[in-house]
Amino acid sequence: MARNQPEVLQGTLDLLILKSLSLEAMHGWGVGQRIQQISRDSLQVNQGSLYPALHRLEYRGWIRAEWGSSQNNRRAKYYRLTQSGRRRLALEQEQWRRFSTGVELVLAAEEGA
Amino acid sequence: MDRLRGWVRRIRAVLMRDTADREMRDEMEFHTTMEADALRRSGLEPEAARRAALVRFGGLDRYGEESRDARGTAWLDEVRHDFRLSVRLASRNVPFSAAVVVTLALGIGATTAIFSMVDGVLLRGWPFADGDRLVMIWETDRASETLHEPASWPDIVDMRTRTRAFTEIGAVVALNGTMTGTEGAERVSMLGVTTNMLDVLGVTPAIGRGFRAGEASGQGVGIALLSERYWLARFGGDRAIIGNTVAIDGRPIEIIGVLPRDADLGMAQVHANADYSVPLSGPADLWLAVEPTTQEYPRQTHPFLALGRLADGATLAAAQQEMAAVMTDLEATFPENEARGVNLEPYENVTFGQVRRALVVLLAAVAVVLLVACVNVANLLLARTATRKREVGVRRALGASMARIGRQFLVESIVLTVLGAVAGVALARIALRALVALAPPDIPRLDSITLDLRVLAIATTVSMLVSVLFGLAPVLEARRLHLQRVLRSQAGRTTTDSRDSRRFRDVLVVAEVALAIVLVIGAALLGRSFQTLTATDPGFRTAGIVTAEYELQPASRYPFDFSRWPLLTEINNLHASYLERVRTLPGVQHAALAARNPLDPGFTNSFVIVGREEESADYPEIRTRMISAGYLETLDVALLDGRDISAADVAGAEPIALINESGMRRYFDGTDPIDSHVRFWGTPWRIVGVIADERFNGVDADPEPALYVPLAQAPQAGVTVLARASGGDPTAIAPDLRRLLRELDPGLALAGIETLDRTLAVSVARPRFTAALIGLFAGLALVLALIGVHGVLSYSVTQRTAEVGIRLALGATRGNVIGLIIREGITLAVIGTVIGLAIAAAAAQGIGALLYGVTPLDAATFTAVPVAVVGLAALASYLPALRAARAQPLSALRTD
Repeated sequence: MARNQPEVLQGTLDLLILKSLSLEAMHGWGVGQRIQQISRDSLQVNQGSLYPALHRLEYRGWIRAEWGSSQNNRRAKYYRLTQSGRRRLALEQEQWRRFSTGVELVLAAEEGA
Repeated sequence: MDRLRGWVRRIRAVLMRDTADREMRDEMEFHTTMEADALRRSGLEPEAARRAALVRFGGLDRYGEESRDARGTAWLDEVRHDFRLSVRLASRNVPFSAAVVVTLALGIGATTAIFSMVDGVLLRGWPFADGDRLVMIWETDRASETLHEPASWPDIVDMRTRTRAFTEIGAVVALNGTMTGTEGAERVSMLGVTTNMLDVLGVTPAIGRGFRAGEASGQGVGIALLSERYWLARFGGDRAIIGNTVAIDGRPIEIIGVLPRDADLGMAQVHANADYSVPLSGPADLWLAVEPTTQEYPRQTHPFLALGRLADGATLAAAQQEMAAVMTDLEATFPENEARGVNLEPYENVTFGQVRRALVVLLAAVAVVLLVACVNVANLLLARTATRKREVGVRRALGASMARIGRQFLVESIVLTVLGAVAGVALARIALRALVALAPPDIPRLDSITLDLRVLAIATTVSMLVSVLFGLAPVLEARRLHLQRVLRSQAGRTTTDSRDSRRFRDVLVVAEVALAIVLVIGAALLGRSFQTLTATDPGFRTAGIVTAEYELQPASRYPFDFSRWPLLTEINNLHASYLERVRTLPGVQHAALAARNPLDPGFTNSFVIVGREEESADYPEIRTRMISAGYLETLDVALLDGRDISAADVAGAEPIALINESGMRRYFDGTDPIDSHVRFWGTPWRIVGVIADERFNGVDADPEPALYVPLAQAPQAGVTVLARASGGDPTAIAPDLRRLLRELDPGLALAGIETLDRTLAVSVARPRFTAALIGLFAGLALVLALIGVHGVLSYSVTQRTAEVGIRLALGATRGNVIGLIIREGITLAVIGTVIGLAIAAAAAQGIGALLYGVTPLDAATFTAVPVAVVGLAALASYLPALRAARAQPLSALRTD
C-alpha cells in the first residue's frame, strides 16, 4: 500500500467510524478496511489510533460491542451503532459539512476579493 | 441509556482489569492476524506478513496505553499506584511514619474521648420535656445565711395556691426503707414524690402508668414506680411485676410502672447541693407517691425539696418576685417562717453547674493537645520536605507533571492520616471506657456516654487538613527549584533550603512549647490544689474504719412516738444491744453509732444559748450530730476540754452535749463553754466537753460549728455504725456486722457498707479526676513539644554539618559544638516559654474556681514549670548535639 496518504485527524476518525458502522456492524479491522475501500484508498486509518477511537466511542455509548465469530471462524469483537450514536453521527456530519464548506469558500476566494 | 451502558463498560474495565486486558489482546490478535492474512494474499511470506502486520499496527504497548487512557479512568490506576508506593515508603521509614501516626492518634483519640464525655454529660438533650422550664425552688434562711434549703410542706401548699408563675409545683424527699420478700430483707433507696412530679418534670413512664392525684393518701396500699435500673437488677426486667405489690417497711406497695432511664437526672445533684436534707443514698430504686399532710409535716419541719415548672411566658425573674412576696407574707403570718425566703434556680444549673466548669476546662485542654499534635505533624512533614526535594527534582526532570507528583504526596499524607485516625478511634474507645470508670460518681449521666462520631469526624478532618497542607509542602517548594542545583547536591544536604522554611519550622516549635507550657502550668496548679486537699486533716481518722447504715423498721415494732421521746425504749435497746455485740467481735478494736457518718453534714437546728437568749435569737442554725459513746475514740477525734459522752448519758438522764472548736470560737468567744446550756427541741442541754473540728462538709470547706449529743438522748430510727478494725482490712468484718444485726432482728438489713477511706476518696473524686486528666494532657503536650524540639534540632544539625566540620577543623572542641546546638534548642524553648507564660497567666484566672489552697498566679508554679521545661528542652537538644559533635571534620567538609 502506498505510504503517502494523508493521516486522518482524530476528530474526523470518529466521524468516519460512526459512518462506517451505520452502514454495517463489523469488527475493528473491517472498519479500517471499509474506510479505505470507500474512500478509494485516499484515506488510510492509522491502525494504532483505530482501537483507542473505537473504545472511546464505546465508553461514550455511541457504539456497542459484542464478541462474535468472523467469516473464518475467528473470535472477533463486533461493533454496532447505537441510537445515540446515530444522533451523534447526524450531528457530526452536519458539523463537517459546515466546516468543509467554509474551507472551500476560503480556498475559492480570488486574490483581491 | 446508551451513555449509561458506556459508563458500565468503563467501570467494568476498571474493576475487572485482567479481563479487559485480555479482551484487548484478543482484539489486537484478531486484527494483526487479519492484516497478516491480507499481506500474505498480496504475496509476502507468512513470517514476513506477520511481522509487517505487527509493524503496521504500531507499538502494541502504546495501543494498550492509549486504549486505557481512553477509559478516562487512568487517574484511578495512578492513585492505586500511589497508594501502594505510599505504603511502601511509610514502612521503609518507620520512625517518621510512626511519629506521625502516633501523634495524630493521640490528638484525635484524646479529643474524641473528652468531647464524647462532655457531649454525653452536658450537651445532650434532656429526658424532660421543655427541660429549660424546670426550676428548683429552694427556701432560704437569712439567719443561717443559707440559700439552698428544703421547704416545709405548708409552704409548698401556699406556694401552689398563691402563685401563678408555675403550672405545677412538686416536691421530693429521700426515703430509705427495707423491702422484705422471699429473698430476705433488702434496703432500698427511694424518692418520695408528690403525685404531680411526673408532670412537673415532663416525664412519662416507659412502661405502665403514672401517678394519679389523690392516689397516695392514707395508710393503705402505696403506689410506686420502679427505676429502670432497679427493675432490671432486682426483677430481671420481668413485666409481671407491674401491677403486683411488694412490701416495704411492712407496708404493701403496688408497682404501677417503670420510669424511663435518666428520669432522676439531677436528683443526686439537688441533694448534694442542698444545705441539708435527708441524704439520698445512691440512685433511687423506686419513686414512691406521697401525699404529705400538715399534721405529719408541720411548718417548722423542712424535709421537702421543691421543684416547679414555669408557666408559658413566665420568666424566672418574675417568678422569683412573686414567690418572694408570698414568703414575706408567710413570714409575717407564721412565726415558724421567721427569716425564711425563697431562691429560684434553674434545674439545669443545679444539675450541671458544678460539673460544667470542670468539663469545659478539660475540653480546652484537649483542644490544646490536638493543636500541639497538628503542629508536630506539620513539623515532621516539613522536615521531610528537605530530604525529598531531590526526589521531586529527579521526577520533574524525568517529565512528571506537578499534578502527578502532588497527587502522590497527597495520597501519602492521606494514608498516614487515615492510619492515625483509625488508631485514634481505638485509642478513643479505650480512653473513654477508662474515663467513665475513673470519673467521679457525681457526674450526671455517666453511664450513657458513648463515642461521639461527629467529633471524630471533626478531629480527623482537622488532622487531614494539616497533613495535606504540610504534606504538599515539598511540591510547593519544588516549583521554585533549580533542578540542576538540586540534582547535583547530595540528598538532604542541599544548601538551597530556604531560610523561610527553617524559620517557619522554628516558629512551629516555639508555638508547641508555648502551648505545652500553658497545659503544664494548668496541670501543676490543679495538681498542687489536689495535693493540698488530700493533705488537709479531715479532723477524724479514716484508716481501717468501715461504716454501714441500717434503719429500724417496721414502725409497729420500733415506734417513734413523739410523746415518749427520748424514752423510745425499743429503739434505744436495739441500738445498744447491737453496739455491744459489735464491740465483742474479735476483729473490732472500737465501734460506735452515729446519726451520720463523719463526711455527712446532717441537718441543722435553731438554738439559743441559755442566758443569752436575746443575741442567740439571731444566730444561724447549728449542725446537730448524734453520736454514741466511743465515737471520739473510734475516730480519733480529739477531746480538747471537759469529758466525752459516757454510758451514763442515757434517755432520762440529764441531757448533755459536746461542742466543737469552731462552735466554741464562734459562740463563746474562746471562753470556756463548759456548764453553759444550749436550748433546742424544747430542752436545755448542758455542755460538758469541747472536741476538735470534724470537716464533715468535706476537706475543701471550712469547718463549721456543731453540737454533738448522745444518740441515746436523741434517738433515731436510722443510724450509721462505725467500726475500727484491728486487723488490716476493714471490709473483712462486714459480714459479721451484717450477721449480728440479722441475729438481733431478721427484718433488719445493713446497707451502704463502705470504708471511710473510700468515702473520703470519693469526696475528692472530682478534683482528683480533673487534676489527673489535665496532668495527662500536659504530659502528652510536653512530650510532643519535646519531640518537636528534637526534630527541629536534628534537622538543623544535618544542615549545619559542613559548618560544624569547619568549626572543628578550626579548633573548636566537641564541647563547644555541643554547646552551640544546645544553645539553639534552649533559645527556641525560652521564646516558647515566655509566650506560654503570658498565655498561662491570662488563662489561669479561668480555673480559679477549681483550685483549693493555691492562687491562680502561684509564684512557685510559674517559676518551677518554665525552669523544668527549658531544662527538658536542653536535654532533648542533647542527642542531636552529640551527633553533631561526633562528626568527623574531614567527611563533614567533603560533603559540600
